[in-house]
Amino acid sequence: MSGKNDNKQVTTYKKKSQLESIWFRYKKNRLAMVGLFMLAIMILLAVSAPLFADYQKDAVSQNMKLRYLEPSFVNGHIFGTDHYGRDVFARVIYGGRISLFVGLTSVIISALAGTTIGSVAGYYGGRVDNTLMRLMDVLLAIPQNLLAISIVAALGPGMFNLLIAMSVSGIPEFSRIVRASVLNIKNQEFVEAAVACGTNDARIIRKYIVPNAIGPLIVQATLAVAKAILSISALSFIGLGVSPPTPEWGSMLSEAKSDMRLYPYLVIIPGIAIMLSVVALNLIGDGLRDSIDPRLKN
Amino acid sequence: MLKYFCKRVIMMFPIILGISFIIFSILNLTPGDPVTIILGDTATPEAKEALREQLGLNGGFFVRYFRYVINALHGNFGQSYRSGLPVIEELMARIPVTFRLSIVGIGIVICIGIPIGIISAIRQYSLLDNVCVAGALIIASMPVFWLGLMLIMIFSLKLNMFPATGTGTWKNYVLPAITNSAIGVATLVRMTRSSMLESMRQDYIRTAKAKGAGEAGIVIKHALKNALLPIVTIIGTNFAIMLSGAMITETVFALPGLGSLIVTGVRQKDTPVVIAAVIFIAVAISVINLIVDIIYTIIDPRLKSTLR
Amino acid sequence: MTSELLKINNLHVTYDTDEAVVYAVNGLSFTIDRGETLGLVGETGAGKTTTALSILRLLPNRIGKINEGEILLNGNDITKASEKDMRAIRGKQVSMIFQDPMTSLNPILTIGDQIAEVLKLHNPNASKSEISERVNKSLEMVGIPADRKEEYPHQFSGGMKQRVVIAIALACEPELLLADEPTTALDVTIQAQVLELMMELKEKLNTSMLLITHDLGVVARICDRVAIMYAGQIVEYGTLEEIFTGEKHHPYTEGLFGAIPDLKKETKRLNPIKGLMPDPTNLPSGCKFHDRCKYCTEKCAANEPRDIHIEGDSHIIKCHLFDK
Repeated sequence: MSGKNDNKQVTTYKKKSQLESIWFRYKKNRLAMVGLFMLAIMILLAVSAPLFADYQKDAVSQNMKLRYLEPSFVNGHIFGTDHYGRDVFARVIYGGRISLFVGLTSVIISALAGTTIGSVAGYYGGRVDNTLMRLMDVLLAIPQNLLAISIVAALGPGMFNLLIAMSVSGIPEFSRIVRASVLNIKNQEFVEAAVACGTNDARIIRKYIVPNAIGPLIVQATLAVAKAILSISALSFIGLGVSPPTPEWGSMLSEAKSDMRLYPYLVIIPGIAIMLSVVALNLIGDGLRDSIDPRLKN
Repeated sequence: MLKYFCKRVIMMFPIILGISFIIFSILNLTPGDPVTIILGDTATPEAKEALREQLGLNGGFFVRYFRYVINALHGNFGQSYRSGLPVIEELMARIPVTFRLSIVGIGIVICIGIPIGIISAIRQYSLLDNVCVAGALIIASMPVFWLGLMLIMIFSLKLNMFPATGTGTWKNYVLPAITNSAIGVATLVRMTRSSMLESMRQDYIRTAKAKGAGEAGIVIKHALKNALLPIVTIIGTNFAIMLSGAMITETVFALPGLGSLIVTGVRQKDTPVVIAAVIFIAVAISVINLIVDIIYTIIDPRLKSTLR
Repeated sequence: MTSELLKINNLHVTYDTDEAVVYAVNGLSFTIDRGETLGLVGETGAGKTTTALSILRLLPNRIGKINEGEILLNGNDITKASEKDMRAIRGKQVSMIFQDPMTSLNPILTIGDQIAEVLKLHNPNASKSEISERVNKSLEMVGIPADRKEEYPHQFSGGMKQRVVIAIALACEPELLLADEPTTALDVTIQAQVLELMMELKEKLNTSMLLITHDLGVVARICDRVAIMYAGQIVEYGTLEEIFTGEKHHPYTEGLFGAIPDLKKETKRLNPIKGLMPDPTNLPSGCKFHDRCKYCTEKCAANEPRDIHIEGDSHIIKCHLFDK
């Protein structure tokens, strides 16, 4: 007996590229989109800071006549002025530039250096791995903040030294993460299968290791920027980061300490700026993690 | 089992040595001559050389490092450039404050963080869960020093409930302890929650349910015990973060602990003090991690049996 | 007391996920008598596990729902039972064993503890020594020396772990055992051993069994009756002889048996059934098998077939071909 289906083609599914499916899953995560939106606004404000305020006039030069103005929409200072008469809003958005710049740059440097070390150790194994990891173990035994403060202690305060301290202190953690990632991938059966087919090293690295390792790496990097912003502001707060009069959220809080009782807004506002940036980055990092490997989601 | 402990403890020594080497190296990059700082620019070269020898600053790098290690093993960490007192004395004076703060801190983290994390996981998707997760995220995103300042503003200045500085009574420790432990609590809530959720998704939970076990029995007997294993390790990490965060908390609340010693030491370029204090904290953290690892090996039956 | 232990009528089960509704079971009916073993056969995704989970109401909390139908255990509709009543049933009247022994046991409890747990849950007044006795007996029943009861699951091999799982399931001597692919994760030789064990215990305790499997060889060894499942429905149902021999079969059953390579003939290619099982979020109209069936007609695409009784009462086929 023959039937209708004799000549019918079986249905196939259209394949989405990996990047597309990651973005598709990310878009569905509302919190992650909120984080992205928040970060976008912050970057926008930081980049277009000159449109809102002049660096010299508003953020840096002192104007004793305008001291301690309360925040209001009427007097042209929506976040008020500080004890030197500087516009707080201007200082916050220029401060954002510093946080984002130092945070992003230091993480990129740490990630690049850490990835190189970690992937060499993970991929080649053996003695190379052993020596590198002994070194990393010692460095990892020292908490990141202590390592950073030691470097700042040696080099002195200032933005450039801060950048060096943040970059170097972040390298051990990235090497550890990347090494673990590479080892994990290397031991999976699809890599074993590729080797069994005669695939050479370079191709394995390019087609198998890198695509699988890069996802977790980006997630870690995003979360690392969040931590970096907290560290940068902490170091500046204790006077070991960016030097005055450069506006930075942490040093703004340090200066506001003595005015806490009478002018609480000077303490509240920069703190909220830090908190919002970190929340945004954490939401994005978590969202990326869920989008890249949905199996990890609860 | 004893062999395993001894092996781990012995492996600690090269790491401690390594830590001291790294810190020593970094801090000897300091530009500027400490002798000039102490004696001033007008001192004669002979006087400078004499002081240099006295402080152990003569000789090449490795000579100095070697000398440092030998002295350290005898408890001699040099003298503070600022106060002239032996560094070991300064350390000893400060350790109790930091110690007290950390113990209270980790106590709060465990007693509050774990239960909230568990409840949040059991009641996943409920309002309580969402509030806890959101709260944990926000608190973990706050800068520690800002939290400290806000607490001072509210509880010291406005409500006058707790003092902002000093170490007189137990009241002095309340705000710093809260500040110190807040992020730890937030982290532990998130980690406990995700560990519980992971544990509850396992197949053996389904087996337990198929036996006729009720929710309480499943949670306590099956999910919880399995979930708490990785938490032990996380508590160790938390402690480490808390110790290194002491720098900030002690500065905000003007507490005379190891953390604020490091901060003032760095500001005043008092290198011997900084080296010793940083090494001390790093070593303390390594020891704590070692203890945590050993505890974990003992309580996980899968690892314990491989030791036999 | 009738001989019918379990009777399922027109069961419909869905999973309401964030993305779509999954129609897992779509109008399922079968009966299991006392002491009988029913084999539930089908490919992955047919809805077999869902059926078993529904009986014990172990579906994932917010997502799995029984929308229609009744499940009668000794005449009582347990879809309407309270959670408390279900807990009394689970492990005592009806037990379930799952596919993967590697993950079914709690790694940080001793196996003695885990067997004792089911005994304690259903015998709250028993003394410690009584429980201990019964644990020993359970272990011996499955061929594990009682002095191993202080050991942890990771110290046992896969086959032995599955024996522990069976010991737990049968500790309270249930009337019905739901076995979801109990031997699939095991080596072939161990498979044979475990099956032997199950058959032996079944005889001894007169337990009925619902054996879920995709392996027709296993079915042939141990089952009295067979139900072939496809896309959430039973498409053919009958005794072992009726399914394995005879001329009249559902086209899917034909395909299943046809896909088994013949040891005696030399073949160049295997004979799979063309196509894939339908997407359970988007089931086809009419007969759910129609787009893969080589006998498909216009009627098949449009109307759902009825259950047709073939010569005698026990053999049932859900197909328009047999509907005169």
